[in-house]
Amino acid sequence: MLIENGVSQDFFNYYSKKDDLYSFYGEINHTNITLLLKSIKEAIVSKINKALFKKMYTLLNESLENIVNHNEGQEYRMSFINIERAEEKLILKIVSPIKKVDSELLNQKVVAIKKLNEIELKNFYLNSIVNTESTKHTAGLGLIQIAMITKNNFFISFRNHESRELLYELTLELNT
Amino acid sequence: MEKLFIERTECSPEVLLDSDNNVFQIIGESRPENVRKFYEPVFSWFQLFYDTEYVLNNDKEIKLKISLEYFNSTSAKVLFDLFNYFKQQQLSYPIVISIVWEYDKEDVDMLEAGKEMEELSQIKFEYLISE
Repeated sequence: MLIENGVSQDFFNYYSKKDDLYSFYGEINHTNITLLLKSIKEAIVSKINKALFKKMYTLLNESLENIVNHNEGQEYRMSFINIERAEEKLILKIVSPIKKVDSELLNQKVVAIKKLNEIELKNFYLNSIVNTESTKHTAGLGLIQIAMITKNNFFISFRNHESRELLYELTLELNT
Repeated sequence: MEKLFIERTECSPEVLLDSDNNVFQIIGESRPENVRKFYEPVFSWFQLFYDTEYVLNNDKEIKLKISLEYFNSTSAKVLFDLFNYFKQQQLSYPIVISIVWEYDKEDVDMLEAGKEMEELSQIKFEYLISE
């Protein structure tokens, strides 16, 4: 894949030439998540089974909410979403700018989660529900849920973007 | 006691808590922008309900129907807090609140989520397949 400048739009330019299930490039905020989920539902719900769609819906919502939470208070955060079918998988890709300081914390969480097996993940999730302090967002719960649904087949990477930011690329694989 | 009604939106559920008519339900999709803030009136309503019923010296057993097509991870946390709150209140008030967890028959994940909530909160759950 050729992503020249490492911005979300490059991803869209590349992926929009392919015949994927869904592609989006634009700003993501809480209102847009609702519109996006609605539009994705209309585009995809008839093409995959109900249970798989629900898992995909959960993955998308948790990933997008995570991005919105990281970018809270900042405007014009252009992001990219792509959903493609590949053999026996659905591959979801979400690309968005993220503050460098957030990327370090996120990376640490992912490294910790990736070490857990299925049972440990479940226990971690349940313990987090019981013990996490209830605030506006429950940092980390969504990421654990993503790991559980994808069976830890999720991958993150960061590309240089701007001085205080990186471009965060999240890839989620869901077995069909 | 005045009922609580919150209209359903595309990202938040309908809430109806009506003790006069014995209807207690949360229905729809739960991923509001600020989950804690959204559910605050629900916690407040139940606190008033406990106090009111206690003053009236009523022993009561009610069923809260939870019928959610989807809830995000933050909602999972807040729902657990609500169920745990019911459990704690049982120590002080003669009012038992149990949950009727409604789910789509094809949505085994939603059934499993209910079982997890039941295990974590230790309150009584019934399971109902939606029509």
